[in-house]
Amino acid sequence: MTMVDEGAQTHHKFDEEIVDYCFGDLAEDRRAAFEVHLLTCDGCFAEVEHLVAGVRTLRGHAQASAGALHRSDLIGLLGLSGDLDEPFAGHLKFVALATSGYAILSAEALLTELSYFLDRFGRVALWTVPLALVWVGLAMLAAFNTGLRLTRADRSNALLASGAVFVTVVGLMLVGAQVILPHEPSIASAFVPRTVAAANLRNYVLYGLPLGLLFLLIPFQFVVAIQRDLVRGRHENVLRFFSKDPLAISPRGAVYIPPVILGGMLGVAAIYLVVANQYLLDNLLAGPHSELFTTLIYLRIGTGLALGGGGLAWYIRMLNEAKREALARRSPDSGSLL
Amino acid sequence: MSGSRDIDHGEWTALYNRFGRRLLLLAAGRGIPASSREDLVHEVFCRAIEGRRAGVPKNSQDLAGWMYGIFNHVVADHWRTRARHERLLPPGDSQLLECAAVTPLDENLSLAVRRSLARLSRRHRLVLILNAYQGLTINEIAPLLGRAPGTVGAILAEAKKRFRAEFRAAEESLVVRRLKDSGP
Repeated sequence: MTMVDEGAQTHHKFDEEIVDYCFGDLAEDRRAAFEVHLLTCDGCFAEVEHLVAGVRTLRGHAQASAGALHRSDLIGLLGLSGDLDEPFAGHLKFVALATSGYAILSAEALLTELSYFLDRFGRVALWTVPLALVWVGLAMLAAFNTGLRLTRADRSNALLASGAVFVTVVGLMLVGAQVILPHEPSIASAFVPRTVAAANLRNYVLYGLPLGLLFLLIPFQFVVAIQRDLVRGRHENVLRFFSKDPLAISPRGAVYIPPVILGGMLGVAAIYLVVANQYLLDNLLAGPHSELFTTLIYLRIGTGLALGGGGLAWYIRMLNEAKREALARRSPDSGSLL
Repeated sequence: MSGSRDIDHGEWTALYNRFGRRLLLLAAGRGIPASSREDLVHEVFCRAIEGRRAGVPKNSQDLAGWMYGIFNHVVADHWRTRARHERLLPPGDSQLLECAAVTPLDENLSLAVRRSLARLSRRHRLVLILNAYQGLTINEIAPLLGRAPGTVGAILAEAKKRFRAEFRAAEESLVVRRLKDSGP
């Protein structure tokens, strides 16, 4: 090893200790060696000089100066509003799960319609199902992104634009599906069955689009709008809004659906889906793939309800966080920070 | 001392220019009040000049070690003297002295810290604020977050590293903005 390599390696070792030193965490036995290194290394010294000032500001010294960290800043940083500039306003996990869940549900629904006569429709299923998965996933992602960008910019058309992107992209796919999907019965049953194309269209109009809009896009849009209002210091209005004060103004570019209404809708949908699908299965004639069809029907109901329930649970949690932050901001000088 | 020599006035000035600010920083790290730091660093150099007859190391690393040794003695003497003074002062006065030593902070520094915190993930931010701002230990934070102390320790270490990177970036962007604002 050359002298230069050795020097660089020693420097690298000390560089890793800068953070510990500045936060006062460096062990006593390492501190002396580090401080001697500081006396000779310009790079480390400059770095420590800067970071020490930052750490001191972060700590109690901040309370002694006017321009330092205020309690309200900390509440914002700890709360929902602090994440507004993060990817997807700090809801990356929700967006990822909602998008993938919704895309899987769409693909699953299409596969269900093609599964009863899989021997005839297998070839179509092979490429339309993955296509639907990707297309719907992208549509949902584009809708989330559009709504988020416009909400951050305080635009009143945020929800409208987000919904329009979603409906338009999914609508285009449905138009294409009407051309591509077979216009033949999707099942053999005691009643007159719908064609695959018609059943697919019905699935989206009756279940898919309402689920995406009501349980995923509208709640997301509302939560982001509340985050933006908290960042802009409109916490009083946020509190009034949640207290149903008639003078409260609804957050711009979002629509509030009370969780209790969503919960009621989900309950009614669950009962309807179970009853309607039971009727369908009772009248289903036995076929080579009727077992697969039945399994997929139950899987589709489960996925749809789980997605709706998951969206609702997230929505309730975020609304509570927003209320907590608005309350904490209203009384910045009293009570505990947490 | 082997490998040592005496040095002239010009070299002492160069030595002061080289080590002065660094020793001030180390003094701050040892909890020396701002009002006493300059005196303490002067004392280090006075002692170094007194001890030069024994020889000043030639090698830069040895020189730093030599200065550091003197610095440690001066710091120890400082605390001994202070302890003697405090015994003579009425209770509470020493705290007042500490408060008086707190220097007002730069507005830009506060802005850079706020920006850096805002750029951390929520988990990192929470743990760092609880530890650095609220003064809670890892063992106190762990039950608040419902995590094991080891996990909290790992999150905190990661948060401090991220804070360092974000703070550097925030300071750089503020410098760039200041340069733009002051413009031609």
